Amino acid sequence: MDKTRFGIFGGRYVGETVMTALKELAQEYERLINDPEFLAEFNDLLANYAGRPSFLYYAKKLTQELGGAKIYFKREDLNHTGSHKINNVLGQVLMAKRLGKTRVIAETGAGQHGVATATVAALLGLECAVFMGKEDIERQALNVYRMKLLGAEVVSVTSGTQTLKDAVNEALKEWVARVNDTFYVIGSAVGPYPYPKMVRDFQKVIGQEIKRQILQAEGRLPDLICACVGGGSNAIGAFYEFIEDKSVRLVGLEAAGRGLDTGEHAATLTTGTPGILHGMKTYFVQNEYGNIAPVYSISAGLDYPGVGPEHCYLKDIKRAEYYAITDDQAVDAFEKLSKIEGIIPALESAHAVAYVLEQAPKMSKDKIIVCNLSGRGDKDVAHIARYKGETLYE
Amino acid sequence: MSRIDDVFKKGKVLITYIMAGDPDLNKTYETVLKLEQLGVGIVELGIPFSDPSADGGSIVRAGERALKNNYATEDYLALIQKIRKESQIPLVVMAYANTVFCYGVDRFFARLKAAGGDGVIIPDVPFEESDEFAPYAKNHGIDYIPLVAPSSKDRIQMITDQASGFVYCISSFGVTGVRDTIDHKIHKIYDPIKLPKAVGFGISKIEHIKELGKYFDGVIIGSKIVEFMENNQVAEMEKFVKEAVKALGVKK
Repeated sequence: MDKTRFGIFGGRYVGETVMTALKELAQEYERLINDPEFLAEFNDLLANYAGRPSFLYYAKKLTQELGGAKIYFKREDLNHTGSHKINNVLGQVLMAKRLGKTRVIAETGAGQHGVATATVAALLGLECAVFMGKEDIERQALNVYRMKLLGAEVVSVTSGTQTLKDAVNEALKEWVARVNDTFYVIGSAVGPYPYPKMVRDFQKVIGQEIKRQILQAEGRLPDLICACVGGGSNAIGAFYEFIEDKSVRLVGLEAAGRGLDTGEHAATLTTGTPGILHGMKTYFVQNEYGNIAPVYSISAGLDYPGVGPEHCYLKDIKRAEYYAITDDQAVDAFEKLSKIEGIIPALESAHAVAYVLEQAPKMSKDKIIVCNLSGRGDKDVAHIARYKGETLYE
Repeated sequence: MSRIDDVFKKGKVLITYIMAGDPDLNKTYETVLKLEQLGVGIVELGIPFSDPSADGGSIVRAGERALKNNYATEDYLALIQKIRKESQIPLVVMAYANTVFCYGVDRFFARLKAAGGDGVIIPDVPFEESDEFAPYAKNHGIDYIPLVAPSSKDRIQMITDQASGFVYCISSFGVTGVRDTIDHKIHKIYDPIKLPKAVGFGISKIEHIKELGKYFDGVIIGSKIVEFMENNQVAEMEKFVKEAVKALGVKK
């Protein structure tokens, strides 16, 4: 198989101006990903800066409440900066330094990836600019200030729908303009090769830890692993180690927004068709002429019209399953997990929790579920309050 | 011998880009015929796309205006057919990969040829992915016009080997959009190219055209023309194009 692809998906559909830089990056990635010195530096930062390994937590109360399968949460929310994003950013910014770049740029939706990039840029001494849709900037004032506090410039994107997709467009354009000194830190397992593979390789630590931890706790592999899917980096990170373990069901949860039949959703794998954008061939929510449709989700991190190409492949070969969760289901899960376990999940992760609430009661008590809790929900508290009709002043 | 080859044989070529459907297809039709009268040698017709990653501000806005009409891809191909009934000016389509992919690659080029189109430029398909597009274009007799960039260097040979018609040489780093200055020394990178070569991206001043015309066979004006149209400056556009034709030394 072509190394740039997953089946027919992936590739590198970018302008000629950045091809040389992209090939240089691919070469570096292919070399460094097996380089003991680079991996030692990366693993040291994961352990001592991000705080890995993250816990695999047995949710006893929730398990009892639902009365079915045993439920474990992989606590990526406890990482430094509050989500799994830090794993990938540490890897990519280290890569940027190796390539001699002095500046990193990133796109962000909710601000999680932007904050992680600003954080690591500060740590490793690189200049940083984060592209963010104007609408998201207004929704996520706290994260915007956080990035500025960390020394990053936040660039407001006013084109198109003024959300994540447009932030990616503008970051790509900035990269074309300043390819000589700038490294584009992509936040999910999307984009042209080598990004989808590189991001997966920096996130696969999640699944590797799950395997070790569950074997220690239960002496066997789980029956089901679930994770939310926007671009799909936390999901591919959790799934990858288990792809050959056919007894483990892998389930990704997308955003059904206000409902699949309302047209206001971001359920790419459930409703999308193959297309080409952001450097890759993958599924997109689009019209028959190939124009990308506006997507919607209560969670800014899932509000993306495409998806990582490896997920398309896993869906096609029927190794992973993908379903969609509505806003209402996600909010319900957000509240239940907060009240029952004292864990406030990110709204993105709450989509995976919603699936657990639905599946666990249907499974027998000897079954095991691992749900990847990709991020913490502090950022979403004000948003949920507004959703419930309350006014909050931050 | 294609219409594109013919026009380069005659001498320097002024190429103008306009966004098809901005503000509507009738206006595009009229503008193409007008540009031909003014001495433009090739017209590049942009097909609007929701996420134009190679384009800067003014062309992005033009695309947004055009998309409001909700035209089908077929409508742009029909426009080409309509123009071809009136004019023999070479028409090059600039479309993003997804537009062609979703229409069906083979079907797109078959229809483009039947309509009277001459060439295609797909800015988000580099050499490495061109097998999915270029052979289909060639099979139907459509010139596959690649882009080369200041960073292309030792890639230029392989890229231009598979090209026909002309080669689109990017003037500088960045996306489309007017620039105050253009470093004309950029031509040195592109000198080895044997096919006719046209330079574009950011060219907006008569002095740019005069200088670049010494080294390139064609000069491409995009954003500047699109901005005239955005502001409804018909007389200003005519004046500019006439001066550009003169500065480049286009033969009648």
